[in-house]
Amino acid sequence: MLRQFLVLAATCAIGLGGAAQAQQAAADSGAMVRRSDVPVSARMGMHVHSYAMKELEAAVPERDIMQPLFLRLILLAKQEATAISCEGFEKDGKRMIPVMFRTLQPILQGAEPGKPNPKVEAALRAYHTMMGGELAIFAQDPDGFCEYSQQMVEELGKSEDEKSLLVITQAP
Amino acid sequence: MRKTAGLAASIALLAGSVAPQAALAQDARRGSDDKKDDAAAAVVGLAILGAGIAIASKHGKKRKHDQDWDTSYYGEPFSPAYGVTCLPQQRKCYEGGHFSYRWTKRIFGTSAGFGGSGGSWEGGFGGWGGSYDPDRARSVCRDRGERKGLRNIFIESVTPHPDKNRIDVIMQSRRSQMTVSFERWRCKFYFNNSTTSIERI
Repeated sequence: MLRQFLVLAATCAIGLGGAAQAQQAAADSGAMVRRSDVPVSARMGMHVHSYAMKELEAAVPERDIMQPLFLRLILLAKQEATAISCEGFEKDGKRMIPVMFRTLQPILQGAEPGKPNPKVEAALRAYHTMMGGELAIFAQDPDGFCEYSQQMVEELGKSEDEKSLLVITQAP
Repeated sequence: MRKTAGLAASIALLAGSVAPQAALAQDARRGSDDKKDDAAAAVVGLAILGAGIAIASKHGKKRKHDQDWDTSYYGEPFSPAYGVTCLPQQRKCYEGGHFSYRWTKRIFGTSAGFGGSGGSWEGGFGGWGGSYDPDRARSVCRDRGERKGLRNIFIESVTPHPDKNRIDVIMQSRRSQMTVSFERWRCKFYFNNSTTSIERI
């Protein structure tokens, strides 16, 4: 009886192992992903970012400007949400304004003082939308959010170019 | 739950479509006062029909959103590694449920996000991106191959090309993993602007 039970357990373990391996192989091959397989926090981020990107794209149709601007706004929004939410991180107020100004530089061309600039307005709207999304993601999974914020800060610190986008500091 | 809602919507649709016809059929046998009542019944029937359509379409839309990606927003998300999801439309990746800058750089590169206009941006990023990165060439070419319909891709080689900024990735594609015969494809990856071209060889 015990032997039969052990054989059954071993068979199940092998089967499950095989299934996991097959899943790993499928994932490694660049397989398409089902939406239902993606964690909720990622789906939240994807949905907020997709809306923000559409808004930005409508105002800044030039892909070579919009795409880097979008990624920089994500990195800044995530940093600000990190400083607000995660223990050990502080926003560097002195850096935030000049870094945001540099980020918006390509869409400031042609702007006249005192006159509305639809591109800048769209970029700032996208920024605040994404920051709100990041705060919500923190509420959903605080530990995961801060862990990946830490990873992002480390990645940004790897080169001088990327460091210029850092607007938060970390307690030693 | 959805089945019940779908059934209710169907009943509403059926009821909405039957009511005006019944009213019209009886119309010939009645006086003008009755006609007003029948017209009202027809309006109610049409309202039920409209509500039925609205319920049905609403539920259809919800079901779609539960299961599918809206490709106009997301493109066709793919997984370059276990637990990692990348969105080609937004050119970013998620790992463990969170935006991963590390994977975003690895798959789309910094030049994908920062190239082109990079040089015109003041205060940095000008030289960021565009470096020789065989891992990225491999990932991007595999992705392009998958999207082109190639299956069971095996990377045969990744070699730098004498042309500046180009890496050639040779891929094998099989109908199934057990198939012996395969097609060979060359993916030319230009890492200065992240463009690729794929051709069968």
